[in-house]
Amino acid sequence: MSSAARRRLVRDFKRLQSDSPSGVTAAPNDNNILSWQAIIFGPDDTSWEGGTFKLELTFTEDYPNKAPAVRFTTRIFHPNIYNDGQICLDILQNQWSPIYDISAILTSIQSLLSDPNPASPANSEASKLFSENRREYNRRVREVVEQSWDDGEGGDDDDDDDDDDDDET
Amino acid sequence: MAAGNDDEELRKAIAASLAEQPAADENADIQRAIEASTTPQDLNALTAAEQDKLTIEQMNAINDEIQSNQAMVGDRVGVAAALAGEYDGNANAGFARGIAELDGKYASLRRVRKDGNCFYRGFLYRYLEHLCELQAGRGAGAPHPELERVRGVVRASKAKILSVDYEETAIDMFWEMLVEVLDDVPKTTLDQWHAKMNEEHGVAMHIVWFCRVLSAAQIKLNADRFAPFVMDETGAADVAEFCRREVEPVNHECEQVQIIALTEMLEIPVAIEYLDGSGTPSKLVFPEGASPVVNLLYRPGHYDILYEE
Repeated sequence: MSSAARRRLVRDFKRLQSDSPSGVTAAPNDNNILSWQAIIFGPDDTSWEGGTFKLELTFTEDYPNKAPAVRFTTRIFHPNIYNDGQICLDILQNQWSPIYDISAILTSIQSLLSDPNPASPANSEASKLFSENRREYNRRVREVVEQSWDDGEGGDDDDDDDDDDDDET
Repeated sequence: MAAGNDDEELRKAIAASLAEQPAADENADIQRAIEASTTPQDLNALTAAEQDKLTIEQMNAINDEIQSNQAMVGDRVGVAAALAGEYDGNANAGFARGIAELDGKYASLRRVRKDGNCFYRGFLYRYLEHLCELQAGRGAGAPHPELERVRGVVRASKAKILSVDYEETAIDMFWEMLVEVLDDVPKTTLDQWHAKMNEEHGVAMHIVWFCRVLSAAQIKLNADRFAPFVMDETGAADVAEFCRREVEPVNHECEQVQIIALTEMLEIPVAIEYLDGSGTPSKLVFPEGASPVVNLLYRPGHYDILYEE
């Protein structure tokens, strides 16, 4: 692996340890520094409060010149998050810049939770409810918050896109 | 933080990526890339979200295609030889006249990869090549005064960058790499420099991106002066937002604002020949009145390097 990617990941890790932003944690897997697990806590005073949402971040040797692939492994109901957990967020796609380290990526995703962008729907049902029926939207969000508590032991990586409801037509 | 690629943004990104590809042969490359990356699905059966996702995947495939087909910086070739083929059969005869004029003025040209970094890459390549030439002329002895000068400027740039609120964690590796490249100039041959700037996944991508930070920092340090040039459609001028959207992201094309800022920050002038269909290329020098070593050719959406001798 390129020493530049390693150098930068170590610096990102140090910053997470020393200057950790509130409500996010992340660490590399034991055997592979290019593969990280992270947890984002739902922002307080929002319907996401209390949720513990897991993500996986996969880096390439071109990090930080290329964005990591980031996806939720906990089920999420959100206008900008696809059913498979992938996230529609500009800085992870065409606005990527090496100025974003792992802390910045996770805090951006955290603020996306409570501040969705209805203009770029990734989940059409969540998007529709968010703009037309906020009450029902919040109820569905509370549902995934509660589900996130049972999600403790593994089994989160089996791409179970199809076991749920709705918006594939 | 703003979310997502809405349709408008995506359209702009695609337009930008296509604007980078003015020439016929590259268009054919793009076409092949799109065809290769399009899964034979019925697009109409997909949701808007799925179509967006597919579009992003296609754009990534196009970038990979460009990476595998184009050298980051090519060999020197004659201007007419390099360009004529691209404009064969172009209905606008102005291009042919413009190329003939440039061919009389410039000895050769190096193509730069069309990946959105072409200005920064061409600028850095040519300037460092010039430094290597200057230093070779002095032997292994004392550093050339121009090398000394730019080393000082780059060393001092880190404090300036941190003063406009960049995270040290995010930028210092890039800064260190450029400092190191400059320190190595006295023992770098032209062939070695060429190889270094063409190594995939190597130091080149880091020092090329660092030019964006240098440019953005200069814009932020002189926010009042640059503000009128970064206004959006509504007339609002947010310098930090401009840097976030138009300067810092990898592979984003560059406009005159970024060029002016970079030449100011490093105190390295640049001359740009603008070739469009009008027949007479127009030359702009930044800053006005300077005699730059770095000469670039601009065609809509793209920069290459020009050599007088």
